[in-house]
Amino acid sequence: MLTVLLVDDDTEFTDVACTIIEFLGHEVLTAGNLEEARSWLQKETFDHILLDFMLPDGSGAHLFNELDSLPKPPRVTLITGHPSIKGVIKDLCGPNIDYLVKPIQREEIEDVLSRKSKKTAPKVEKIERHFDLLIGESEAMKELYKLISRVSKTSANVMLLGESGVGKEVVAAAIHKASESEGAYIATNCGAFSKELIGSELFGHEKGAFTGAIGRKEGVFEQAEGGTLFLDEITEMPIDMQPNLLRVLENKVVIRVGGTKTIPVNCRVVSATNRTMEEIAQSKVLREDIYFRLAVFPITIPPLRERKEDISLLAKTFIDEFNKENGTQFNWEDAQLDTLQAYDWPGNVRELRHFCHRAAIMSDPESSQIELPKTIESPFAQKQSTTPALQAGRTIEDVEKELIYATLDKVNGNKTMAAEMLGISTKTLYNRLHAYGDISKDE
Amino acid sequence: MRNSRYYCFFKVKLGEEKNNMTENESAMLNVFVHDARKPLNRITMQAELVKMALNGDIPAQQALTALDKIIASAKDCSHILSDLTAQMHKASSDT
Repeated sequence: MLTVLLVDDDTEFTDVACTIIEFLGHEVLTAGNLEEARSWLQKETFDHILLDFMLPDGSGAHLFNELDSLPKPPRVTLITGHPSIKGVIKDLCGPNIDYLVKPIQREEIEDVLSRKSKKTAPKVEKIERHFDLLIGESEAMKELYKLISRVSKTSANVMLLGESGVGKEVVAAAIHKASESEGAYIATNCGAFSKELIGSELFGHEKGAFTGAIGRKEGVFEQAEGGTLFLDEITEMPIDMQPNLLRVLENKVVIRVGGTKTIPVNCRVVSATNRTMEEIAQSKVLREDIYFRLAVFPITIPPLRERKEDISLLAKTFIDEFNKENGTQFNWEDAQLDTLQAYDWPGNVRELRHFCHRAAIMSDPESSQIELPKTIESPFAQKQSTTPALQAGRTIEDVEKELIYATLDKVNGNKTMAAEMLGISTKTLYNRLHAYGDISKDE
Repeated sequence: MRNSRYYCFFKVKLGEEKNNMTENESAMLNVFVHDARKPLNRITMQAELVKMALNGDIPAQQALTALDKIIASAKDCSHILSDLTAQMHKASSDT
């Protein structure tokens, strides 16, 4: 059921129109001029306004600005006595305002009232992707873009350092993109291969080199000829394989497993690890000579908590991507973005992306509102509530109740300690808990 | 009031530019048409009420009232057209 305001100075028309609109199951109020209409708008909230274009005290169009400034602007249908005004109205009001031309039939009224407001696509904020890939306008990211830009002009090997989920592979792809090299971008994960197969994966093998080698295979170094080879989790490479890698890096030639021929290779190696430089040095997971070959130009990618201003840009991008893939029109509210920004995201951009997608999946696809889960849970961090502790509109009683229970939780239900922490007497605490129905009078 | 407005229009029309209607004249004619649409709109809406009454959606008595109003609006419309014709003739004889 809609609440409709019918604004027209012809009372005979409004009487009949009211009968029809009420018959259609809607509630209707009438106004004979702009002044009366304004008065109704101050008192009531309307879903739809049927507005005569020519009223005794001015044009119905004079109400447009006032309607737009309402917290929930109603849908508007202009009523005009002249078809030629249709064109003017269209130009004036855009596609979201309907119009009816007198004489009006019942079906036409039914049609405009049943028409759902055209879903306007959420305004897609233009978020820049640096090197077509990276999102973020924080100082930390700007510094990163500068480094990428500089190193891409050279052929230096790059080592990317950063926590899990910061986007090391995306940065590697950005370096490749910025270098405008002719060769391919090949990514491989050094932690994903067995000791036996890593040699074949990196350097290739000749037919019959080992059981199952039924044909010749090019290794990733050959595949990335003239381009970029991304070696992820380089510190997970078995230490005894590292001399082979060093040889390739030094001599720029590979010998396939089971082969004798040296094959020249020419590619930039971008390696990555989630260990810090200190950890690499202390844990000896990477030979020193390899480290210096790979980390000619080390780049540390900042964790998301150090560039919180980028969280909203990333969250918007992830939701836009979800909308595109699923035909939905979800949109973040400012308060929700604030909540996301308040969280530390120990899993970094990857965690944020998964969280955004999970929230979108849990939300009503017909609505543009995203339902945030009550908590952001991560095995890498403590649970964090997405409900702000203090929010306008909550009653003091509500907040007091929450505080009491939070304090009791903290002291494992010890009421004496809780009362002391809260600065109230134990008796008062008991009274409150009793009022919440949490304990009986006898307790 | 209405008659004098129509009269002015036709006087201008017939006296000064007999062949081509100016933008002003066209706008004024639109106003006349707008006035005539009011009773036509009432007739249409009242006819909708009659349809609803015949379908049993509203009491039959309302259909009778609606039909009376249709007749009244039809007469209003006829008067407007008569006024227009009379004013046109008057403007024509004055020039």
